[in-house]
Amino acid sequence: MTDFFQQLGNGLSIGFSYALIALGFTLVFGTLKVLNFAHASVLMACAFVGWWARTELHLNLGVAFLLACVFGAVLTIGIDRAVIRPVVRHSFIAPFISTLGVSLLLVAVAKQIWGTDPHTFPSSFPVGDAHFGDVTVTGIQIVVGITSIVVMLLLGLLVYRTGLGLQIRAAAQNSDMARASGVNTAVVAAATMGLAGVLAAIAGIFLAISFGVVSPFVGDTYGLKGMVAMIIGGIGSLKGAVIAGLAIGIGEVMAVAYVSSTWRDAIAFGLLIVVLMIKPRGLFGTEERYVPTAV
Amino acid sequence: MSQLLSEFWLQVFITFAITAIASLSLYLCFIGGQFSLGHAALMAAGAYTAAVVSINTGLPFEASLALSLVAGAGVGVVMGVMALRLQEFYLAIGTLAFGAAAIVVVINNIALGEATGLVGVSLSTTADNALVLLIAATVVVVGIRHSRFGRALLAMREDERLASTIGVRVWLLKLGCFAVSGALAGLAGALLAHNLAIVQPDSFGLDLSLSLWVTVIVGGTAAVGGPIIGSFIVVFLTEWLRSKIDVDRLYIEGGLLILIMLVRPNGLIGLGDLQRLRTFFTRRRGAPPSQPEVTADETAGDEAVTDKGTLSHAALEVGHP
Repeated sequence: MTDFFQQLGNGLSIGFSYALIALGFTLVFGTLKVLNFAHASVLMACAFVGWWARTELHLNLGVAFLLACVFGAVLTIGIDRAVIRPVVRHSFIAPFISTLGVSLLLVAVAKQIWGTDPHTFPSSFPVGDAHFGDVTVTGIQIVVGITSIVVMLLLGLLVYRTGLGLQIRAAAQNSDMARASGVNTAVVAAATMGLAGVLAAIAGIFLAISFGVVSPFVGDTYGLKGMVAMIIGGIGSLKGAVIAGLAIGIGEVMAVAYVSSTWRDAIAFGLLIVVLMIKPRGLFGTEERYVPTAV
Repeated sequence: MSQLLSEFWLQVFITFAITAIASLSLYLCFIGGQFSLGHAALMAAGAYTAAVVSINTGLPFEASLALSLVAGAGVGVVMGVMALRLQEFYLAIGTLAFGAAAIVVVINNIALGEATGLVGVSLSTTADNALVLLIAATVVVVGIRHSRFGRALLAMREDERLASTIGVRVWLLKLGCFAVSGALAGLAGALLAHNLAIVQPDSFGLDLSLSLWVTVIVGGTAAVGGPIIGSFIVVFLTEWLRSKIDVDRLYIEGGLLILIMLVRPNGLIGLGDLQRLRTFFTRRRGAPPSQPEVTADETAGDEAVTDKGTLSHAALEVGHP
């Protein structure tokens, strides 16, 4: 049983990162109806910025963390301005393809600057491990867990308890109607993209310190799983993103511990297929109304 | 063709032909509005079948291709079952998960070589037979597009409910669409296996499915030529640019995607181009461009990547055999 709780702790700590990535995806998709495929590469880029601030600039972890967050927000808003806004009116596929292009470029730039080998993220960490009986929770897991919960609560407060949050939710429900009621949708778009960038940065730094490495390919696996978590939770549902992210994290760690590490990747995708076949809009997604189009 | 091209360009041509066949397969799904991000799994089905047949039995190349067609179609139907429940974006993500899960199954299968894959497939793919098969695949897809089946697919993409009310059996059509598309993808996979002599699970990841989307979208979905032109551009242009300037291919591919989406969001061949071409030729012949000229095929073609548009004539045409 000790082993089970140990695995549960490990699973939660990875699950928080998945949940943060899923929150970024779901915020953008739910509000702006755009799948930002570059989200995962932004995460990778932010992890590298954090690593660079730590090793080259010798900043402390907190400052490096903030720097990565600012970088993530600016980069995501830039991507939105440069390749999403200009094509978004054409189809849902056009921004998907153009952000895919951005994602390839970001990986190419990271490979060019830092090479393909993983870099060690400085592991010196201010918080010590905690022991509960035979279960050990590392300092990193404690900080990741607490920070994630705080970030999620703040995001929840922002979206459900502030004026900006109200505008975001209005734009998510009906963009045209929101604009007609005086919501500045350009500001909403920038705020949403900025928030998503910050969430990507936080997840990127957490993954980097949890695993102790950064590489240009970190976005590929984790970004995809984050997207899967968004779909399982239901697009636009913050609650769903968190629950699905944690479920995938725990499920994967359990699969590695009790089945085999080769089945690890089947958890997220298997879960997605099962959930979609039962609830085609995800766990907390709302069924889109069928609106007959004019003939 | 071996007299015309150097060794290097022959290989590029084979890559192009395989990519084009796979893109045609995906294009067929696009005609029916079935956005699949799991086509890599269909190619894997063909590639692994070809590898097992070629390594374990003494059967000839042709038999290996034929069996790959069947395997691709079979896996395609299984994937198609997801389409009965999911649409559009959700279908794309569902098939993405299907493809990823299929690869995990392969990695855990000893008979399929687990993570290392299978080595020793006969090197039977040549530029000549790849060209012949590409032409055959093109003929099949053009034929399908102008058949009753193809018109039903267009109608289904425009409006599934409406299509079902005028007698299109949507579930059967979806499974049929995935079966034919799977067969073509299986063929492409088999050619790939016989070209590289090895098959590895890593080659059939999301990257491959995405690159097929890229070729289809870059070329545009208004005409069957779209995916072929898209494959040509992506494969030849990147190889040619790479032979000129030494730069990571990700830069070229990423730059190309952004550029094309910004300049021509509907792909290189859009509906407008076909209509303009048609009016151009009809004017030449002295006939005024008449309204009925624009029929179902064109109206539906360009909007493949746009959201649900208004009802086109495609839906109405299906009723007449």
